[in-house]
Amino acid sequence: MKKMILKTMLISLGLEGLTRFYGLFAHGVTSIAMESMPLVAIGGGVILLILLKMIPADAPYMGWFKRSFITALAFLINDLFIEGVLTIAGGTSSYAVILLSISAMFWLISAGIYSFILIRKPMPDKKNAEV
Amino acid sequence: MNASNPKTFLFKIIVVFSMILLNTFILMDAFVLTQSYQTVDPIDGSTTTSTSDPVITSDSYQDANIAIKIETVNENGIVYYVVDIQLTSAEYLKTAFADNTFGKNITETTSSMATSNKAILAINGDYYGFRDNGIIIRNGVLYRDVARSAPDDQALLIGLDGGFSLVTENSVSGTSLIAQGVLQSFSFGPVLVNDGVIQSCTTNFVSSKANPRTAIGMIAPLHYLIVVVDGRSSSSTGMSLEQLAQVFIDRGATIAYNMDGGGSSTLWFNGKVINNPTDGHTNGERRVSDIIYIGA
Repeated sequence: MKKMILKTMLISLGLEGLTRFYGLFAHGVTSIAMESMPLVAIGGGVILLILLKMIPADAPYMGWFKRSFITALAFLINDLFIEGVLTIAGGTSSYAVILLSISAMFWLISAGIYSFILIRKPMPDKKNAEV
Repeated sequence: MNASNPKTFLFKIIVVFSMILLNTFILMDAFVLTQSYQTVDPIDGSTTTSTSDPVITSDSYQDANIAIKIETVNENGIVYYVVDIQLTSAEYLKTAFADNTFGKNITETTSSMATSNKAILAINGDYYGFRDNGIIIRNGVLYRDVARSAPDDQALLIGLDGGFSLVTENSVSGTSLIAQGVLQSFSFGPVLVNDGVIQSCTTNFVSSKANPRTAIGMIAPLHYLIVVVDGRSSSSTGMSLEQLAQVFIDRGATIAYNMDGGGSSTLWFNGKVINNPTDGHTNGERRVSDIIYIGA
């Protein structure tokens, strides 16, 4: 758990550094999308931690849930970065939405896996329940 | 995620590889790959003949239909150029695309476009070719009918009578504007002056930072002002949008609209570039996708 918190903090700091570094070449143009990257990383990390606390650590498909959640978050942050680059340059690309679509797809997958894990939570002991 | 797990490792590789591929493609599409949508016939200047020989000096042009006066101002570490233009008809205020082609990422220098279109004076336009949206009408032809996202969707229109007006792109269609007789539309901004009042520049246009600028305004129909500001250099810092708007107000403009600036800002007159275009790193003209020019 500590490792995950540390990773989230480091990634957020890295993204903040990237935003500031990019800003050096932006002649004062700012992008809300790019500036929100560190917050999204922290927010995503916090949500993931809360979700993991609510299910058993050895739950089946836990690995796939984490993978899909982190992938969704990564594509979302990637989309924010690209949107930021385009905004600062004053350009557009109709293909930028692909990143957001992939992110949405992985959010759905992670939500599905998480729901499955919740449904399959171990039930109370059957013998004790009968007694 | 355990990196020692081959499945996990493969998944990570696929995700990272996909991201690199997608990012490369999106950035190439936005900045590099050219797409030609429509070739445009250059305007034949011979249809609008001048009735007298022009009188041309280093900072002015005068004939029966066109009067241009360029003033160079150097104050408070800012060098800028104010062009006062008076025309007898809106047909002398024209636009041109790079390589006479409407498309994406097709670029040419302002001076090259000005020369090939036999312009008298030219400035860079709104760099429409860097974006997929924004209503684009040029010389009375509708080329793109896709509104920009609100709230940054105020376009400048030039009508048949030479009058400037402003419109919210999401509230109109390009075809309706053509039906109303709109000759030119510019999709950049923000609006600097409207009804003789400075507009608050709160959107993401480097408003408070000093930068090179290009803007066009109207004192009255067929009486225009162009302001080009040098910046990002030791000789001139550039202007904020508020400062730029004030220049138009001081000279009596009722409407003024910001065009593409930064390294794109270029003022060309009678065969040469008047200002000092620079993006802060390299000097010289930047290739842009369109120009606004005065031509007979």
